[in-house]
Amino acid sequence: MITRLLVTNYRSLQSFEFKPDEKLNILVGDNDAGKSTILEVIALTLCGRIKGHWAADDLNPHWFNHKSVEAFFDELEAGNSPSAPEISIELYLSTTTKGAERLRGIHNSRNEDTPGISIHVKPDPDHATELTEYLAQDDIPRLIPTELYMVEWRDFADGKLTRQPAGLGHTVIDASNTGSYSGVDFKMRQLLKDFVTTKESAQISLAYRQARATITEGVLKEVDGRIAEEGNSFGVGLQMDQSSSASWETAVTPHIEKVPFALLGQGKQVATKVALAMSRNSDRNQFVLVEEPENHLSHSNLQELIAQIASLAGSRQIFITTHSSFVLNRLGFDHLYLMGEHGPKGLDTELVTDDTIKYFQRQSGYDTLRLAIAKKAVVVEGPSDEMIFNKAYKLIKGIEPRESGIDVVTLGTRGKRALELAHALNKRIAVLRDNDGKEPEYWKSAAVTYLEVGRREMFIGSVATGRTLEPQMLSVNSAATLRIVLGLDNDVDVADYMENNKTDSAWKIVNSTTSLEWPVYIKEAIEFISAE
Amino acid sequence: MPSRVQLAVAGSGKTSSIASQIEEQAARANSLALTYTINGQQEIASRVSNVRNGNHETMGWFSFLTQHIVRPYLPALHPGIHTHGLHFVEHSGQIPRNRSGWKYYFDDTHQPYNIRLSLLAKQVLEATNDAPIHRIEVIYDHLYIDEVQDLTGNDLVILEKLMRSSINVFITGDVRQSVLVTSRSDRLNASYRGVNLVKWFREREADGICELTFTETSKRFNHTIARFSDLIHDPALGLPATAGSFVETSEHDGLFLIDDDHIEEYARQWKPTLLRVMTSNRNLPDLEVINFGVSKGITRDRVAILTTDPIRKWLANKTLLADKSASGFYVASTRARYSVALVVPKADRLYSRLHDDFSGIIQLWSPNE
Repeated sequence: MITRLLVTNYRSLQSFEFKPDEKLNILVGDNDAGKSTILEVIALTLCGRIKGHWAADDLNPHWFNHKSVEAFFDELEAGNSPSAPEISIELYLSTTTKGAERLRGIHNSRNEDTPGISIHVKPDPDHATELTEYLAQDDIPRLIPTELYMVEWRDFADGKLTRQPAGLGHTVIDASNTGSYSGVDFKMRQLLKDFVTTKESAQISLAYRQARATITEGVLKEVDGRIAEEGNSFGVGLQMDQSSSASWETAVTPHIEKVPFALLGQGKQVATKVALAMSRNSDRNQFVLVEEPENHLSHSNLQELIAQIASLAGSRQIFITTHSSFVLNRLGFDHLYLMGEHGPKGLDTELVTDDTIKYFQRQSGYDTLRLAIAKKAVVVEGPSDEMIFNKAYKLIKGIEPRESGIDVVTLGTRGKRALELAHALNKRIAVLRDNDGKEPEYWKSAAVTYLEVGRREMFIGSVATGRTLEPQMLSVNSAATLRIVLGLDNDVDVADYMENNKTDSAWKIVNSTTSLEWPVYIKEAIEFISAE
Repeated sequence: MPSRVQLAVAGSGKTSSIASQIEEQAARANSLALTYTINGQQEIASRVSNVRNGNHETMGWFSFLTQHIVRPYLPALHPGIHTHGLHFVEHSGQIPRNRSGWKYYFDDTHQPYNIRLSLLAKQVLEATNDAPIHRIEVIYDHLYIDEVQDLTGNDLVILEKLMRSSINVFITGDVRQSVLVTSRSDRLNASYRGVNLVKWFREREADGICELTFTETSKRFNHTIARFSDLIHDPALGLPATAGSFVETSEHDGLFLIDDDHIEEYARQWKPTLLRVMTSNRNLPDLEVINFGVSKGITRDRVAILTTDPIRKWLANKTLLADKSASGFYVASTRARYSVALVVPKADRLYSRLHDDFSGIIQLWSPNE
């Protein structure tokens, strides 16, 4: 089991630490926050390959963190001699990880006596002078000259690794259909290969070679002869490919109920990959990396996939990146890790009750992900509350809430659950709700465990000024002003109209240019959430 | 469970005992066999044909010290050194003087010096509270050590830690055959050098960390050779008497004194392999010639040993040979199935002065027989 991942200077991960959960890790965050880079780093460190290529073959300037590279060239141009950027990745495993016994030692930056693997990308000492000369030139591109670099792949016992350590298998599952035309990508092949023993592989290989020879000697021979007879063939003839590139693995394709894999629907393809990867003995693949399972899948396929992953997990350690609240809620958001600049932050699971986790698993449409990703959140009951809040904010602060990193989320009366979640994520959150005929103190005391002045507060209008948003608006604006804003005839009761046409009223208020006053609890909420 | 130590005479099947134990291991067990010489490693590897499911490895003592003790934990003593390979020297005179710190143990390319490796390994163990032992305990279920008589000095400190570990340890060797040692310049445990290693094991047995057994029957040679071989080492060591279970006979069996002048005729008649202490310019018959040290592990029908002064003194007076000479001579004397000839000047004179212990064992050979 992976206990810690330390990354320096690799792509978006400039200085990064992740201490994953032993079973399930759901990585969420904005686009470009580095979620998929984490999966990439884990796979790279475990098997020394990246997208099927050996690390040393794939190494290119874009491996290096942009900020570090910029800082390096700034220093260089300022006439200083900064040390060349290096990439360091350390993957720590628990001492009980099967198959990792020999990777144990203290060759890691923490001097920890544990199994692990590291990757270092650093200037090749054999090219030290060339690097110095190169960097001394003027007008060089602001890119790391990786031709003069080397990739070192070692275990914590300081042993050089040349292939994936036996027993530390991992499986990557992504729903994207990249890879070869047959739909069977490198990872899928790797998976299939694990089922075929070396001996069988040799037998298949031999039979395949013979079959190709038979075709060459049989039907193809006639064609070949005709080409030669008709002349001008310059010695060109036709033969089955017998070179090493024509291995049987590329000619074999999996079938599901007699349908070739490539012709299956996307959902079935992914399901097959998952089943192949996870039905095996878990010591063959202890780590499962799932990238955005919601991509390319219909909702029902996604549902099936998530159920499959949860039920087949066994003793494996699973890493999933996702943009979907559904995935997050279904697998249990207590396993959530939110991407931050220096590493993913876990939820303080002590602060979330099992009841809440179960609640969200059933209410899997709940927008937990938005709450998790937002810098600050405002939770309101309905669409009219959302519109009014946004308008009030814009008028008072001069910018839209989202421009200040504030996400306004409509969650009905489930604001208390949101508070609990925000508590566990240590987020600033404002929850606005109707008083429904009870004083604000009543609602606040019901949620007191999750409230903290300046971090998590509730904003509720007093009973005296009305049950819901609409009477609250009427309590601070005259009926005449609202009648104009809403474009109502004199014989229509403003309060009744607003109560019966909430969304429509809000829409009209939002689009009006008339200057309006906002209820006190909304103004307080705006000041609270916009404070630094 | 205490470790099992089996001290066995030449030709008693030590290596095949290891090989059969490996084959009988429980399914999925992981085992490691260690021995000092490359010949020894090949010997074990070639006899282990079929290990069920699990994994068996055979490696040399120095590789073991490097890979499993020094390398994983070297940063505890010398951070930044990435050890690889081995810098082999015969003695410390071949290492430049005034190297201190990490340079005392490594050359400039970070290759460790063989003769200082076990000292370094001991220091790593001390600095890490025996972390390497805990690491090895997780990797291996069984550990076999062959030719244990080659271990000396600091090796014994490491050996003891292995014996005290949770690994199932089996150790075998013949203390009488200590002709190679891992480090001649290692001064630690000097009183247990060579054949005296048996004392070390007896003390460990008294401490309850090992069970010591002796295998006294050699399948290689006849009983006369066995009786002769028992006379070579100091009787004060109390090593059990050897039995030779090789019963085939020929026209010429047992121990013989041969005169220097008769060596050509003897060679023509019996075609022995010639064994000698070291290379010399002496004119020798056209026969296979092997030095004592290198003859370890081989078996021949007949050998003829070119004796030294100390050997001849011992034949006359039983003046004890120095430990190392005794071991070399013991190895040489235990190579042949049928006959061992001792080549001496003036054989008839020595024969008449032979010590009483040799009566009934050594015969005088003359060409007209």
